[in-house]
Amino acid sequence: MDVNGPIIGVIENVVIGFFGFTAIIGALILVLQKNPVRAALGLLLSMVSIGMLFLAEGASFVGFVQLMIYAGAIVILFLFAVMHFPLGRQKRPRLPHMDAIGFLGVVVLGITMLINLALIFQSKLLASGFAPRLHPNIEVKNIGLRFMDDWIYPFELISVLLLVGVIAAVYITRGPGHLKNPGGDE
Amino acid sequence: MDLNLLQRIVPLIPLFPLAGWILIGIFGRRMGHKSVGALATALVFASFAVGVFTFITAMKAPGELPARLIYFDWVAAGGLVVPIGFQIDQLSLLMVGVVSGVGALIHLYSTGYMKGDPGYPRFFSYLNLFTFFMLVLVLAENYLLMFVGWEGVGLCSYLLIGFWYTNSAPTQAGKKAFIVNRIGDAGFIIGLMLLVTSPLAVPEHGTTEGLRTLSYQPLFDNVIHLIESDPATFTATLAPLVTIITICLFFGATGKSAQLPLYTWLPDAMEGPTPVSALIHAATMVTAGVYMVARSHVLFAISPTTMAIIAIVGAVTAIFAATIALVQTDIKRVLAYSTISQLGYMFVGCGTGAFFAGIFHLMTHAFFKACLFLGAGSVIIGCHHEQDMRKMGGLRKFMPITAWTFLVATLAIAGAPGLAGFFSKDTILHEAFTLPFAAGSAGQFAGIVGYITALLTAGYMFRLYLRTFEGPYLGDEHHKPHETLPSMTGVLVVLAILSVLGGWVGFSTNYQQATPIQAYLNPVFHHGVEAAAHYLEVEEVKSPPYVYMLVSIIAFALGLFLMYTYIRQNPEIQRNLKLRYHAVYKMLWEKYRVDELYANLFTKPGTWLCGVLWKNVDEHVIDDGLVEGTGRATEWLGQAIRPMQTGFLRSYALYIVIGVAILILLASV
Amino acid sequence: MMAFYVVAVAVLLIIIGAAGVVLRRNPLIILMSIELMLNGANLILVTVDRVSNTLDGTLFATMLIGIAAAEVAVGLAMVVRIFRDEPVADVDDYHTLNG
Repeated sequence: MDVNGPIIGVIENVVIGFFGFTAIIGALILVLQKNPVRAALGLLLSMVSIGMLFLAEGASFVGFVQLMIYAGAIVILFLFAVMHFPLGRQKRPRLPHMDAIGFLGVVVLGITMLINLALIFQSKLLASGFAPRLHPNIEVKNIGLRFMDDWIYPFELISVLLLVGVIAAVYITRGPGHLKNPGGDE
Repeated sequence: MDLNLLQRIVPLIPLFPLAGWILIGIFGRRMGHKSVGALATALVFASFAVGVFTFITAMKAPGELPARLIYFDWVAAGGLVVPIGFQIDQLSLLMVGVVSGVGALIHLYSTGYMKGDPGYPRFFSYLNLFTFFMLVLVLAENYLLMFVGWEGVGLCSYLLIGFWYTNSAPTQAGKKAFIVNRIGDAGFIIGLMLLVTSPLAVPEHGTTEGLRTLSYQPLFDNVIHLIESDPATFTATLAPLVTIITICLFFGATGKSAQLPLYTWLPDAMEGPTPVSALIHAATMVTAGVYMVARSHVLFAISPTTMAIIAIVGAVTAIFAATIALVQTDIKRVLAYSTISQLGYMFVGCGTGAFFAGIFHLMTHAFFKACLFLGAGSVIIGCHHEQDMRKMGGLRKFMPITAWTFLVATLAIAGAPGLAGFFSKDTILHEAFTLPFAAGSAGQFAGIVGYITALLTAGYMFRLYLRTFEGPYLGDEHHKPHETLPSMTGVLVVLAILSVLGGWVGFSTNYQQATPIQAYLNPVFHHGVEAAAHYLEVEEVKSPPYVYMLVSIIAFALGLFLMYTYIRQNPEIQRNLKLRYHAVYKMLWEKYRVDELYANLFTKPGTWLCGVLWKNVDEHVIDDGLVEGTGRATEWLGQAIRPMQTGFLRSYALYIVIGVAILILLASV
Repeated sequence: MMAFYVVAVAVLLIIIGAAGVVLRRNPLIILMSIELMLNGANLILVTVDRVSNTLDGTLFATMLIGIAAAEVAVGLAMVVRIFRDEPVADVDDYHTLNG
């Protein structure tokens, strides 16, 4: 992958393999844990692993963005929300059959996706390995240039979307009343 | 001949009465009856005047006829170009003269006849509209414009027959007229469509080369060119088509001109006011069929089969109607069947190739039939709206002018020598035996039938005259009849004079030479007829007319004599005769039950079919099945899918997952 | 070959995330599972980018992160609002929008 020889290549493979494994573990923790705090921590593990994977592949920009925003902000937000909720006893499920049917559905999805995966196994593209890693600075620079060039429109729209998200979040939690008397009582 | 001048004034001929229709239609009630009548009549006289002027101008240079006056393109689509234009030639000018001349007289008569009728303005507006359409029909230079006039006169016939629409009989009669006419029109349209899509309508040279046309001149020139240049190919490829086209066109003519099988509307049309019967159903509209056949003589002359059909239908209709007329008691009915019979003669003339004779009889018939109908109208008014002959008699004492003009017209129609009908009828019958255009011996057949019918014609017409005007008065003693207004009797006199003099244009001292009327109309017909004769490899035989004239005179005299004797008989003997031949009498009285036949054959099944379509198809299948069914199916489908909306988040998530799985599956396949 | 391994991991993440969405009843866990699926998608996008030396996928993945952030904000706000006073947060309790 890069000019530094086969030993580096081996280290890369090990790193990728390890973090791929931990990403799956994190996901399983998330889905299987009853305790929401533990589930959130599983999510954190997954996010960090994926960030590491990005870095190992050589996508430094996305990797750091992933670590900063996903692992550093979103998961924190989830933890705050989880702490907000008391941990009550889960009742007997209202739709017991749903569990079986849902499981079946997911199995179907899994099968189709894995079939697809098998089909792209032969893809020459994936067999070629990761492209030469760009110098981190240059990579960021290129991304920036592209954003300001072809992708300016989505770029701006994302900003608007984030603004809308903020306003919506505030409004939903606090309700309409507070808009009428801004400095008034709660 | 100044074509520019003609181009400017000829449109006035139809446009004067059109203006009348518009003005009287809008302002009629405000104008008052006197002004309405005067305006309507004056406009038609004006048309006649312009027509006479055109005639004089045209006759100064007859070699330049036919003159086609084109104004603008009406239809220009898909290779077919149909202009709005008029054709001035001897035939159209004669027709214009008859239509506007007799029409003007009848307008004048109507000012007296319709006096006091609340619908007076409406009547004259319709009458003017009719005149407009009829003039368009005869002046048109192509089939499509003629068809506009054709349809228009049919419409006006409906409007005028059902003029007194508050009663049910006139409205039924109007409907019947229009519908039967329409059936004929369907055949006419099919004929036109076949014509316009055939190679006949694509002239190979001339001003409209390569384009499809429905104009007479290019069309007929092309046909003549085709049969002259390559007769063998024409016989092989196009002759059958021409036969079919002409049969379709003739079918339309049977509707318009009340021949078998589409004649049943004409007797019923007598429900309309008598001037309407005179104008539309004697002098003009019913003659449109004859005019059309004469105009299309090129097409007809080259199909001997069709010509035979025309001659036979004409002859059979003539005798058929004459037998019915023999026993009718309503004066207008007798005249109606007489019209059908005389129209048969005109078609015999055309069918045997003597187109000029058919047109000649058209002209004389217009004179004496109009006189007869208007005379009958005078009788009806004079007898206070009585139409039954059995309640009349001896009216000559009360209405002398009417009686004398009626007698003159009766003699004319019966074929009294020297009067109009004699010459025209004789010419037709004479030519029927000598001209070779009808296949087989159809001509001879038509001729023989024609002579028998002439005898019957003399018979029933004299019966009509004698029962009405001679003998004892059988009507109401307290309401004696009286003579009618001068506006009416004056017209009767004019028409009677025409009935006497009008026939002499058909007389010539030397039978080898053409008669004046024949010479006049020859430029229109002779090229086509000669080309047809050459193509069919037949020859016209000229024979002396004396024998034929003699037979005509015998028929007339015999008919007159027999009827006179019968009428003069003791009522006892008359009753005995009626009893002996009761079956025949009944059949004639019931008009051979043709109306009942049509009712059972067409009307009843038609009505039944409508009922079935209504109850079963429309209500059950469409209303219940399709319309309601769609609603019910939608409702059912909705209810069937309803359980999917559970309200549970997890089931929706499941649906999404399944959907994605399907999408991935489809994408990878 | 490693690229295929990474994509396989991403696919597994998606499947596990889908299972979490369908099978868990705690709304927060559901939201987190959705985030997991988004991450899986991001992983595939970036990986394909890296093997083909283009940048489009990276850009799109960047934007997806932004979208995910906005979505989390709004989603959490809704969950907090709805389940604020419930003793136990159970998504199955709310099913009145049926029929």
